[in-house]
Amino acid sequence: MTVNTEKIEKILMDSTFEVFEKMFYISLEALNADHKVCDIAAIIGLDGSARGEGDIAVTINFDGSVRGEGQISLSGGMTEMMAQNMLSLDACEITEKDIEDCSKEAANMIWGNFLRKFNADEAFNLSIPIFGRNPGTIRYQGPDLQVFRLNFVSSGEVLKVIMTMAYTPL
Amino acid sequence: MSFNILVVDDSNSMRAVIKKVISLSGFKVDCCFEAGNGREALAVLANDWVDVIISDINMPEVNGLELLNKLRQDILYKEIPVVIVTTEGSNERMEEVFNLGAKGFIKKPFLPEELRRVLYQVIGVGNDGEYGEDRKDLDGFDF
Repeated sequence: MTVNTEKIEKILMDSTFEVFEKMFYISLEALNADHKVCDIAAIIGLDGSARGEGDIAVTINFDGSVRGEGQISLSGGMTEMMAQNMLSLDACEITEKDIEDCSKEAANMIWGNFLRKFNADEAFNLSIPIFGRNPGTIRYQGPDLQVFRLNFVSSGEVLKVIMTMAYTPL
Repeated sequence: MSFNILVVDDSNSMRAVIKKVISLSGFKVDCCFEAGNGREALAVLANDWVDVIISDINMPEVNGLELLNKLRQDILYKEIPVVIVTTEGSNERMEEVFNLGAKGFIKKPFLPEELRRVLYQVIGVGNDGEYGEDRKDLDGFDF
């Protein structure tokens, strides 16, 4: 199967922007390979080593004509900003449940939106999102697997979007 | 005339957002019930009359499609209009939910205005209808 990697990355990026703008009222800035600012790289752990206190991750799986796994990792401040904006709450009113809920909803919407833009004619199966305090690893592995990594910042807070995708159904 | 509305979503946050849009849209609401999945929704329906159901699809235990199916098979519930609010917005899924009897479909992420417009359509009141003077303008609505 011929796959346009750039197109997939663009769809994933657009889906993420749309979710954060419409549901969380957060304007994200995408970081790409041209960003060489050391402090930003350190914040978001581009080398995979830096990880802040309070980071959370949500993982979701999808399958259909393509299958894969998506994960968002968020800094603590990003999750608080999301919950505050979505629920119109003050910082002191936000509970752990609010943060979990908003983060799971974000992952659900990003990949629902992504799959709809990827192929509007197909009804993919999307799993229930799984919330965790420590960003984990992606499970799917194989020669046909592609990995996409996107990094975003907003007001100094960080969002990482990782997706693996394989082009053969299970 | 006021309505009883049931919001079905496994996300507390999404239920809160939907309820907020409803209240700011000027709908006269008697009760706004909540359920975390289709099974809980059916429990609400067993005890209370509901005029409109707003439901997600992707939920644990009894999902939105299963809920639609159960509603359609029950003579008491089959006429209750259901609006699906979901991330699953493929053409195939839309066709499936409309075939199961849904009256409206909203794709997440959505703007408050989109939800309000579909609810007006489903309830049968136009933007210039009896709620026109009551509704607040959501275009510049700040969550």
